[in-house]
Amino acid sequence: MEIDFAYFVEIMPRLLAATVVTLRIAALGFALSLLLGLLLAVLRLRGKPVLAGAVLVGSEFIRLTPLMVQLFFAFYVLPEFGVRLPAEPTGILVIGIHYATYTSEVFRSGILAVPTGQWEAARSLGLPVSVVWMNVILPQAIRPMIPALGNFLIQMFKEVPLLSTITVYELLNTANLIAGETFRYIEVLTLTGAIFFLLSFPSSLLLRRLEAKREH
Amino acid sequence: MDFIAEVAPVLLTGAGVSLSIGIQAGLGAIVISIVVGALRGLSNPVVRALTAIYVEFFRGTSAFVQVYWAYFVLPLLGVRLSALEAGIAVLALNVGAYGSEVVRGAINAVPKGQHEACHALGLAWWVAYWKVIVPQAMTRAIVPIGNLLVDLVKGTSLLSAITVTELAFAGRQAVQTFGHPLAIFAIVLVLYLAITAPIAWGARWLDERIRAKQFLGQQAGRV
Repeated sequence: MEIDFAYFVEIMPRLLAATVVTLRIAALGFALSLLLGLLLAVLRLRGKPVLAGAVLVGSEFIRLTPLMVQLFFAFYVLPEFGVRLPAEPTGILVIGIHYATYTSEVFRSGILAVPTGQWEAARSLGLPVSVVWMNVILPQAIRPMIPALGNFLIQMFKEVPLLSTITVYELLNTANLIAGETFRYIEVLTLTGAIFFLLSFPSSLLLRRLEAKREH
Repeated sequence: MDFIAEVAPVLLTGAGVSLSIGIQAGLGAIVISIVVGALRGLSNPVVRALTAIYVEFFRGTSAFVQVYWAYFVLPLLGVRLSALEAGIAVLALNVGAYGSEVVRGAINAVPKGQHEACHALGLAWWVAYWKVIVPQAMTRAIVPIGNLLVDLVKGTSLLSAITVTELAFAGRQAVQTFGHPLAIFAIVLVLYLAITAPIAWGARWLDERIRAKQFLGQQAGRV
């Protein structure tokens, strides 16, 4: 077996372009999971009991079933109801909702960790509810959550390849396409794994340092 | 609704395959977690480096890429595994890498004084571990290990991409044959839930039971 480095150089532009697609999906999916996760957390903390219960049951169902099947579900079922989305937005939507059920737990515990005195002080100052949340509670709650949220971003990034099963040409699917043309699976798939490692390992080291700093 | 009668056996067979993969890979992952988690606590620099490389490699590269790599690249390197064997091995190694960190963290979280006390009492190391360290570490490890096993069962669906006819694969095939994606994928999701929910809820229940028992033990000790 010989590894041809010229071949690495040859396929690199296509793999890098696909890496950008993967990063774009991860970024958009993560943004959605933050917005929706915060909403779910607030609903569970402040919503009517029935609504809070429904959010809990729904989140548990999503967390306990595979992302892969949720992707199939959205990809094959949505068109039956007249919702015709291209594959990539469908994937972003599904991965964003899936991870929102995880980020909502981080938000919930972060909000609960803000001392009750802060709520009481804000209320005794007569601040409107929106100001209490936006200017008092969330700024204090979010900082300690950053490492946990960052870990979910890295985890999500590594799950973007699942979108290849619904025809999205992200990194893994592109790698398969290239490997299928030349049958050089060793080079292409190893390089793909290396790209994932080079992006996720330094990020997780950074998060571990952040976390260690916070604890001391 | 006639198709349900035809689809049910296909999906149930798929669920059986997923469960079987989950059990085999899960047992492998638990053994790896304990062995590697314990090894990572040793001071030998070679052991430390090798275990760190293993853990960071499997955590840093995507599980799905690992599945593909094992299926397409290993045969080219002369390692002949069936898709099923390759898939089980990757899942066990991947979840084992995460699990070993849980085990290491749980052991590290037991206060140093406990180790020192065992040493001062002249307990043999296995007695110290079995009777003192492990029971205390367990309380921290059960829920995270339960979550990892849930992730593992969810991860068995990745093997559908390398021709293993597990539940996700069976569902997709059934939709291609019979149509009705809404009903079929809904059943598939519920079948996954039937496997994962007992693991997640069982782990939480066990955790609460152990905590309650230890709390009572402490109360009794105080009296």
